[in-house]
Amino acid sequence: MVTMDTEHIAWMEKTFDLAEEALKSGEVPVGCLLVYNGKEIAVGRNEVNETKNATRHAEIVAIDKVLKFSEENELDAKAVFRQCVLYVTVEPCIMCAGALRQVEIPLVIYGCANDRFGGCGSILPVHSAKLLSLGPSLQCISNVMAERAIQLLKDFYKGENFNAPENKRKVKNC
Amino acid sequence: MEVLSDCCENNVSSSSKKQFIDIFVCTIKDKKKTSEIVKNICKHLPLDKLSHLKRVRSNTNQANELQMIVAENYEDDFLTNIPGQIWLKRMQSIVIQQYNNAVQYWPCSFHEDKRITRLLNRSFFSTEEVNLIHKNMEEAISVAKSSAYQLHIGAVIVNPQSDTIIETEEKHPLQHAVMVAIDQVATVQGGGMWQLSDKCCNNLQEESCCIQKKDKTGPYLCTGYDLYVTTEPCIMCAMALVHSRISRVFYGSPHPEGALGSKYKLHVQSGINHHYEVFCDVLQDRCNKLMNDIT
Repeated sequence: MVTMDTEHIAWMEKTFDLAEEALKSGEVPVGCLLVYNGKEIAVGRNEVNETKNATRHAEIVAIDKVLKFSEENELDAKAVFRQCVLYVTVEPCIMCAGALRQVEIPLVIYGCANDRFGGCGSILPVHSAKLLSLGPSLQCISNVMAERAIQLLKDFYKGENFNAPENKRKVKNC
Repeated sequence: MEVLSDCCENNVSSSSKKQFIDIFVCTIKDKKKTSEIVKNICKHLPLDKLSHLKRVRSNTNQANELQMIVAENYEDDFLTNIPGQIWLKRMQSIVIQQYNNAVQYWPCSFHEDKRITRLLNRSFFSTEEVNLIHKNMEEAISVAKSSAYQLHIGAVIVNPQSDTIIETEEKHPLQHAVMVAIDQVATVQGGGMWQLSDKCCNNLQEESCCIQKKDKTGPYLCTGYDLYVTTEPCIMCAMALVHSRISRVFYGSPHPEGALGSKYKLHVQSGINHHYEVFCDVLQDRCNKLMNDIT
């Protein structure tokens, strides 16, 4: 295996702290961190159950925080996004891949693939598709600490989803 | 009209090419042995991909003989007397037009999907339903017009059971009309993120009460709700609707990079855990005009 850039690994370690926090809160364990000019400016983790909004994925939460950061620091949000690197523990879903292109983030570094909803190749290649109305394509580096990301997801899916309606809920025998 | 998966659409449109494949057929001269022969051949040469076809048919030229499908690609040469190939339709017939087409070539079983037949006959919605659909789209159009932003796109989410309108409009890079409408539903349900203008209808309070009482029969995300949007949603919004478990989407104008019929058909994408119905061209002329009126 190619030696991964130590900088990427270091940021990814921090990103996993957020995923673990999500797990503790009963959310799907995905964490996200944005680095701008070598500095961390925004983090996010899944907040779907908390907000009752299924679109509150780690990436979307973090994008909102970049907008806030830009406003507070009187920076042009568009210019900030264009200089950002986004770290996320799981491949962005189809929705998030669209969102990342919408704000023109150029580079995403992620852990494991997302076989259910992946938008960077697993289900649809939204990252690279020709979508002029959405913004430039997105460069991806995958498989950075993928095993750890998978283990976290496994830990989560061992439990029950208490937010799903009774008749749709899978009851686990453990 | 509904945006169907390619499998339904291609087979129905008369211009589409019928899908034919070669098969090998033999003659059964002694009709009495048919059941024994069929039993054996089904065991040794099952027709996996052609299970919709009947194995045997009567020989149109020889009344006392039958014809039987041997295999799709039969390479063994112990059957020397193969009477040629027959063209066959490959796919399962879903609607009567497809069945009538297919049966000319070889008898096949037919399980009509009545829902799709009605959709294709344009007898799916009653006049009252059409009126209601138009009324809800009118609401989405008026929301678009009231928007202070440049792009004129409006969206409302409706609970078709109680016909209550849930919500709308747009702002920052991710606040597309659909994303905002989804967050408004979350707000009504006691969640929400974006704290947008307080436009939600009061008649939804009953449903929010269900949530507070932890009544699991209450709404879960957008389950059972319909979305009306003036323009075809983009890939981000279309996937947000999958995550939100929407039931049906009605849109006005298509968009060349739209994800529900134009560039993608995300609502019928395989591998995804929720699918919803999509109907396009609702008050299309007025929705088109809205897009052209960018201020």
